[in-house]
Amino acid sequence: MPSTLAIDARTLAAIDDLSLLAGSIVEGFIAGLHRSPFLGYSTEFSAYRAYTQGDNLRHVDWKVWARSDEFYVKQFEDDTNLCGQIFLDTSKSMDFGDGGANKFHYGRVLAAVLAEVMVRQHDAPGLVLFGENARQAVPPHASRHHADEIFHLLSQAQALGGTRIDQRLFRIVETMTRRGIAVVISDFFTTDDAARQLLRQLRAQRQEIIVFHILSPEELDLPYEGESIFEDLESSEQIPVHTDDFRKEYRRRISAFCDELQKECVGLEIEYQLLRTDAPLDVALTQYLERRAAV
Amino acid sequence: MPGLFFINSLMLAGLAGLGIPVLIHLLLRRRKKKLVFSTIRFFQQQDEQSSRRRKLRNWLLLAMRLLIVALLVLAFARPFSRQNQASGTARKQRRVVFVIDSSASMLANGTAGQRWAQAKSQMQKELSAMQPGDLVVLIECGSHANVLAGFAPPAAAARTLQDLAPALGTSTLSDGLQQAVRLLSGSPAGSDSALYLVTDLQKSACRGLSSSPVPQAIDFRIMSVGDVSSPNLAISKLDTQGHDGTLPQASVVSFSDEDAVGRVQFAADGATFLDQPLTLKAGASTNIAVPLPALKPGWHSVMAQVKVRDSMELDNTRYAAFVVPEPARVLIAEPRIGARSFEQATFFLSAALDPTKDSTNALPGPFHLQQVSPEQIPGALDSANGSSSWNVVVIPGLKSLPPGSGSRLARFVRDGGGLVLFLSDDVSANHYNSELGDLLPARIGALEQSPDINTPWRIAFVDTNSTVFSAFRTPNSGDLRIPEFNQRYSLQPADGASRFCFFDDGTPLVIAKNIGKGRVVLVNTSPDTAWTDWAKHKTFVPFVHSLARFAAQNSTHEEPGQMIACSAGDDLELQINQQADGSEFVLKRPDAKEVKIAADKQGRVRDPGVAMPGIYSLRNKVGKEILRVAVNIPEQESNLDAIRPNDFTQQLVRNQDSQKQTLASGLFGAKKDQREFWTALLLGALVLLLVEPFIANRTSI
Repeated sequence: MPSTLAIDARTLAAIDDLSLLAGSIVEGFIAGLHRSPFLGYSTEFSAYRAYTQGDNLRHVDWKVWARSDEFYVKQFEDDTNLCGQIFLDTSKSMDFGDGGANKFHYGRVLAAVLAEVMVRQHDAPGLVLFGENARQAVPPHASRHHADEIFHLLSQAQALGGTRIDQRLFRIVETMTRRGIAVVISDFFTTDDAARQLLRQLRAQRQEIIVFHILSPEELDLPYEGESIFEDLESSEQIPVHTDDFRKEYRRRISAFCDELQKECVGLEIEYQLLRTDAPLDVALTQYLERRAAV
Repeated sequence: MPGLFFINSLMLAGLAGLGIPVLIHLLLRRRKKKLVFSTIRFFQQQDEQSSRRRKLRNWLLLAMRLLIVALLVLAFARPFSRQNQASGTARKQRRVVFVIDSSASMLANGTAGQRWAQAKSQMQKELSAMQPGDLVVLIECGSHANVLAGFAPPAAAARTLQDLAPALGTSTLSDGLQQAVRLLSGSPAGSDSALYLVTDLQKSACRGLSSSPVPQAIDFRIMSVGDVSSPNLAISKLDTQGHDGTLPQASVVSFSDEDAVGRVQFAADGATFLDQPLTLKAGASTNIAVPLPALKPGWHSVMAQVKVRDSMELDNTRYAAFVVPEPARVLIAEPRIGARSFEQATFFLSAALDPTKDSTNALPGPFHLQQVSPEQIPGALDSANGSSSWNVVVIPGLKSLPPGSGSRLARFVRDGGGLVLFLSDDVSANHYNSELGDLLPARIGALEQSPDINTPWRIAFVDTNSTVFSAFRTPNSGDLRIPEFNQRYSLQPADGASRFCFFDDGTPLVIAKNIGKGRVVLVNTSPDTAWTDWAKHKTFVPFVHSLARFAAQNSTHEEPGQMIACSAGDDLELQINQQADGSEFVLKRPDAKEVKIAADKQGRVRDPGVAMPGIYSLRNKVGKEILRVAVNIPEQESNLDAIRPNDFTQQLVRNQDSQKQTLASGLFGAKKDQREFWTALLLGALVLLLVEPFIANRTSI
């Protein structure tokens, strides 16, 4: 297993520079693979055409000139047209968990790493932030600088407000006419069926979808003791709960919630991955690359 | 109304400790932490009922802890309620058990009169003072503790008491107390129980008190009669058989701290034969020899009596009954008949069996002897019949037996007679073997001489369990290793023969065989001093007597009857014989009254009723006396020393719980007028302490 992948989320959290962080992770990840999935991203020969002024001399086939004494230029077909839209949930509920176990931070790092991978594959990563207000933060574009722009926006992003999946977001989805990969990073704590509608909409747009369901250990295990008043991060609503009495029931409910979401994803042929914020990112990256190869 | 009081009322200050659980409750009640959580959507359906239940458990826990503290404090304060006797509540029923000592000592007289009369008088007084609703039980404590009647009104008990007579046995008061406690343990709740012990507190009756505890709840009282110390003289023993060569004797004991002067009289069958003065020092005892007069065969009774002024007259007289058996008829063959007695071959035998022969005023001995010549034996045996038949024939060593005597002797033995054969130099072994044949217990072999005159044969083994040597059972009854034997015959024991005595090398000295109804005994030595010096030793006479008795045992001769003596009130069982199955007998009591009784299937007469001291005579249908029984006052009743009531009370174990302890008495104490609650309170606190952790663990954070 690549050594970098073993860096836990808390260590990654200490690195502020998302560009450096994503680069390190991706480099480490690639170095650890037995067979690089990046071999196919170079340009491939398509046809010859006669040299015209202005063509780059690097593309002249000198062997053909030696045989025929004519200048021909090699044409290459570029395969980096794949769009990779990253949907990151920026609702307040994502801002839960301490330090590296913070869901929003974990989601940001995951998005950055995915963007880095996409850029290295000459894919066109895009970023959509959806929370209180959905916005196309960075449209898909394949260039090195484009990734830096995504990193910058991710580092500026904040988790605020509730999760609103509305027409604005759907309109963004509708613009995704080109077939590509959509990665949704969220805790899916929405009050209604909107999250599922988003997935259906993406599927309708012929997107290969990967769902990274981010949950913190506290949300999964409810490790608190005694009676406490729990306050909702988004709605500020409060409720007294005796965790000792309720833990078993809570775990059953959260498990049912995850199972239901997974079932929905399976029904839509969506790749679903539950990620604990105390787990390394290798699972997520592997998931993405497998899906990318299938496209 | 019963009031509630506290023995340690200061302990009630401990109720201030009730604040501790409250404090703990308040301190342990954590403030609710406020936790910001990503979503509360999964909490919204939490069961409100469980929250309410939890709160309820918290309150229950607090209440339980408060209760534990309160119960502990109250328990240490020892609360009790007292029944107000003077508050006009209904009078409780009393259940009273009188344990009456009816032993013989109760007939003793003291400074205040006869003890029995005193006891009855005190009891009548007590009974008359009781309420009609009360219930009374009388337990007579004689040889056994007998409940005279179940719980009955005092009037009925008084009537029973009126006719009550002492049992004259030995009482064990602990038995009576046990019975009384058992009866009172079944008393219903709300009734008072009382146990009154009516006794002279004689020391011998007060043993084993520790085994009869009397519960504290029972009101115990001693109604003591008699004096602590009473001068008394008694005949403690009357032995008419005489052992170890001593004469029959009577023992007189003084239980007095003063010297006694009086007279002692002995009477046989009602006729006084000895009357002599008696002086006995304080606390001393003496044995008086009883030279019995000549008595005919049959049952006889002897009465010994001291005439002296003392506390108890009943034990001044003692009785004994015994049987004088018919003498066994012994026919002795004397080969030198007509010679001077000391020259005769059977001189030592005759002298041993009938030492008073030819005396004019001699008592009849146990054997009736007749010497005949060997030739006269068949004729003598043939001429005898009925009561004059011979029981034993003794033949010394004869050179030859008269012709035909062998078959006649065989018939005699088979019919139940006893044949005793001695040997001598004259005996022809072959002749004996052929003439007597199967009669001999051993085939006679060769004549043997001891190898050295200085090392004669001696007796090595004697079977003292057999009748032949029964005289030597007791220690110091004679050393049979002293007699020396120089000659003998070698013997080859016949089948079924029993060796009762043999020499060092195992050769039999006395060997016997049962033939038909009789038996033959062969003594492998001479009856005179030719072969042995046994006749010169003191063990010879008892041996010859036992030998003759053993030989006669299977004949119609009656053995001396065992003297039957018992104490008044004992459970007596008389074994008559197997043939007495269902037979009716008449028992004549000392007061001349006759009672008809029947024997059971085993020929036993059980519990014929021997309550009063004296001679009891048992006769069959035809009036023949079968046996006599002497009934006396128990020896220990003569010692009238008593213990003081306080000492008795100290010896008596008063336990807290009665045998049948109720739950209520265990919780609230045995006292009926005062109920203590500390046990119940402690029990309650203990239960709550056990339950509290379960509830606390359910509700703890």
